[in-house]
Amino acid sequence: MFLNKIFNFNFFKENVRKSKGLLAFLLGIIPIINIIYLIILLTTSNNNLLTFDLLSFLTYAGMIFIPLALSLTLFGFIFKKKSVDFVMSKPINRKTLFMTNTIGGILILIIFMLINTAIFGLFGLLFSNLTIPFSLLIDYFIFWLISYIFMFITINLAVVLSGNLIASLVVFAIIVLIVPYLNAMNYLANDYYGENNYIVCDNEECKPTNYYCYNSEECESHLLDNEYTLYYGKLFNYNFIAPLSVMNETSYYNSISLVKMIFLSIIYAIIGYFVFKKRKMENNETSFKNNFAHYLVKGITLIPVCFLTFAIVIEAGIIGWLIAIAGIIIYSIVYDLITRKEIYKPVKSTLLSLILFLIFTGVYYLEFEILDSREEVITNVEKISYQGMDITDQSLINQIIKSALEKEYSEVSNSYNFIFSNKNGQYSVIVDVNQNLDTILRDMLAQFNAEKIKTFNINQINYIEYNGTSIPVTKKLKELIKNNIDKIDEFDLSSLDDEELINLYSYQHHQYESVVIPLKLNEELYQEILKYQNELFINHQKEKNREVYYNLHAYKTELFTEEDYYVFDYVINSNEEAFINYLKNDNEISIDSDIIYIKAYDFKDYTITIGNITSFKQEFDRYKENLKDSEEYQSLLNEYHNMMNTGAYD
Amino acid sequence: MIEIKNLSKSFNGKDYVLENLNCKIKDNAIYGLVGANGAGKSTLLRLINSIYTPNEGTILIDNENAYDNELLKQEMVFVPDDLYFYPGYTLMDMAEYYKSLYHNFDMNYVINVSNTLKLNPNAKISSFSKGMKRQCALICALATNAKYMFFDETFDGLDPVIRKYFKKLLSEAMSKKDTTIIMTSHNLRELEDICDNLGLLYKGNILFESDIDSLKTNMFKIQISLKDDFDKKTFKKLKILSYKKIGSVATLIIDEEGHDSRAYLESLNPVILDYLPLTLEEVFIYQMEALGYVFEQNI
Repeated sequence: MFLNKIFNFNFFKENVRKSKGLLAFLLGIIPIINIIYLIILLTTSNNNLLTFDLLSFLTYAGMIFIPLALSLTLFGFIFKKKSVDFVMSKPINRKTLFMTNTIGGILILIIFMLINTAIFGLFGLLFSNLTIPFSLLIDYFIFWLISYIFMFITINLAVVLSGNLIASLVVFAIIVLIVPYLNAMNYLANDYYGENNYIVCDNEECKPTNYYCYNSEECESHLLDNEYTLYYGKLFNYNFIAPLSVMNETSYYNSISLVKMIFLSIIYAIIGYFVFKKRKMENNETSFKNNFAHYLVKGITLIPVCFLTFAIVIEAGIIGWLIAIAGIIIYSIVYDLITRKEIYKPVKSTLLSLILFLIFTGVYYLEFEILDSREEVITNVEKISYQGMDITDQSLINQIIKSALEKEYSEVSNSYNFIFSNKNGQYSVIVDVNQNLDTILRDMLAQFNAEKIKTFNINQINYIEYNGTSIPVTKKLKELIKNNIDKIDEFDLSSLDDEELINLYSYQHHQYESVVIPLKLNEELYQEILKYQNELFINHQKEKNREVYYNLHAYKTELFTEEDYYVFDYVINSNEEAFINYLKNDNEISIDSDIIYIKAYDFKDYTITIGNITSFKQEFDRYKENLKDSEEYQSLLNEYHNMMNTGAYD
Repeated sequence: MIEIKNLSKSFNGKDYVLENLNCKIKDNAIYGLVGANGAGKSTLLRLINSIYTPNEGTILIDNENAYDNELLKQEMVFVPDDLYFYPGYTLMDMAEYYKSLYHNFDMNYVINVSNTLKLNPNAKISSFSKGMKRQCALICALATNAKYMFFDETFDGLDPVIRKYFKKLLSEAMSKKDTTIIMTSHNLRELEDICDNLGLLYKGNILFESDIDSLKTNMFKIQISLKDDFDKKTFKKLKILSYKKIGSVATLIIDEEGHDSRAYLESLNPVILDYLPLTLEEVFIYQMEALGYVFEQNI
């Protein structure tokens, strides 16, 4: 009964029916592109671990235009006097009208998100080389549903506030973007000259200081004293509205933003409801009959406009000022023409715009000239993060910074992309470290990973990757890992190469947790993984029989010559049937013997493991022998020798 | 019954389109609302139908506040001057839409009337002429069986035959279903033969209300000529709404108001005395003139 009072199903049904074409397009376009995207992924790669961001980027692309079109469809009657007469005279009151359109819009968005989620879920179920964990699907559904609802409700508010299409878009942009814009301005201002910031250390501690010399000789001489520059990029901790964090270098997913959007959605829906209840429908088509509201909104729109004119003023001096003033006058007139369909009180309106222009330009000057010079960059580093490992020990933090500053280029052993954190934010810093610190960090990371493995929930593994190939997560593999995980302490993970490690991924706490375990943890595990890779390739060739490019990776043995590497693809392709038979029957893989790899490429990548190197070398020599009378092969050999003689091959 | 109390509406907070308007419209009648351009007729209908919000005053329908009253709106239907149909809709689609909102909607009525009018109910309304669109709107409104029907510029765009047919339908609705119909029209002749009552809206208020018969029987156009010279003062015992004298013949418009003007004028031994019938339009114009509204100068 209560639902009937706030939701008029018949009205909603007809409202949807009248725009069924548009709604079908809206509901269909992103799912269809998502399907195309998934098909492309499936046909181009065997290893598809879909992250939240990979699932999201198309949904993100539609985040403004779908709620916008939906809102304009449902509340569009507000924009025309004759449709207002038609709708408002029907036996449905304002409360029910607003609630029906709002709840109905949310229902449509739920359907839209269910369709998208179902597509991802279905593809994940049907195709084993597409990994989409269920909890990731849930995250995707909840996050984007709330984001879309937030956008929809915000646009609804803009529509009922303004009553004019253009003004609605302006108000919507103000509501959604102005706070992130000002936030971004703050970041930009502080990092305006941020490419060259120095960290100086004395014997006790490092005190990073932001030096930018405005023609100060003292400052410049000081700069010359500091031989090493620490480059950094400030990371946006941009959780006001996560979906708008295009500049965010981390994931779209942001729990704080989610809570903010839920809270703001409720607030905006309540405000929208009361504004709609009180809305004067005679004001439709023209926005903001109220002068104060008109000037307020116009004034806010001048904030970003004045940023553009500020850039012109900075670059072009007096001419810049003249261009900026002319630009503001034109903007002021055009804005009035669009929103009020008249040049409204031109003298007063232009004067007000120019006053605001001067104020905002002054603020930008302050922002860039005064605030920018303050010392605030990477002071008091509290934490350094690397691959999920947090370093909070202050002496090690200082050591890392000192290492970055005191190194000699010749001493550089490794390069790390650290995240420095302090109370002001996060900074991405690339640090070249010397041998000593590299060893310390590798040991720490190995220890960190070893600890992580022990707490890693093996039952929740979503994805296993070895040497660039995804391995199906089977119960047997899980059991093998689980039963042998205690042996991990017998291995020095930091000394193992990537080819000797298996990566395990589990989607937990809205992101993938990953750990590495040694390939040789257990004989059966070893066999399972390597044989799977080989069978994947054999089956692929059996079914498709496409032309494949073969590349030998046998650097751990000296059995193969440079010539072998050069002719490898031709030789294998010319003896492909024999090669496949060899892989099927004679390729003995054992944990005790060394292995080499062959990478095979067509549209996808395959890794073939050779278990018995000597035996394969003999097999390969036989293939070459078979080709000795081939003119093409001889020509290839000549080509190689010529290149060797000219030094081109090196 | 519709009762409007102290109703005021201003669009800019200064100039009032309707100001302190009071009126009562009795049930089961066809009420014609007339007035000059910009008098506030459409605004009044929009206020009654809760499209606009009044600045002051109340509108009671069957003793209930009409503003945003969903239950009451079940018994109200409004056809505005500027018609709107959902894009791509047919008459049947529109009828379905109305049916989903009005409990007493009669789909058979739509089919029957559209058949009579040879209006294809499955053709897109956007392809119809102005008059056909008006027919669609009127059919849907009449099929709601609402107790109160409001029509702004009711017969705009309809040809005389169709107009006559719809007048018949409106009369039937009133007589058979006890419907109260409030309609506006610039063409007073349109209202003359269908309205029971007439309200004249002037300067934001109802200047007078009357049933059409008494309006017409109370007002007369008289052409008179006397033997002796005469002027307007000669007829000071009459309530003269308009006086014009060309040569020796004067034309008077008088409001009888229960007096026997004929006996009085005959007592003056006129050379010529003719009582001419007045159309409603003339009644309207002379009433306006009497109130100081110089009609000709504004055309």
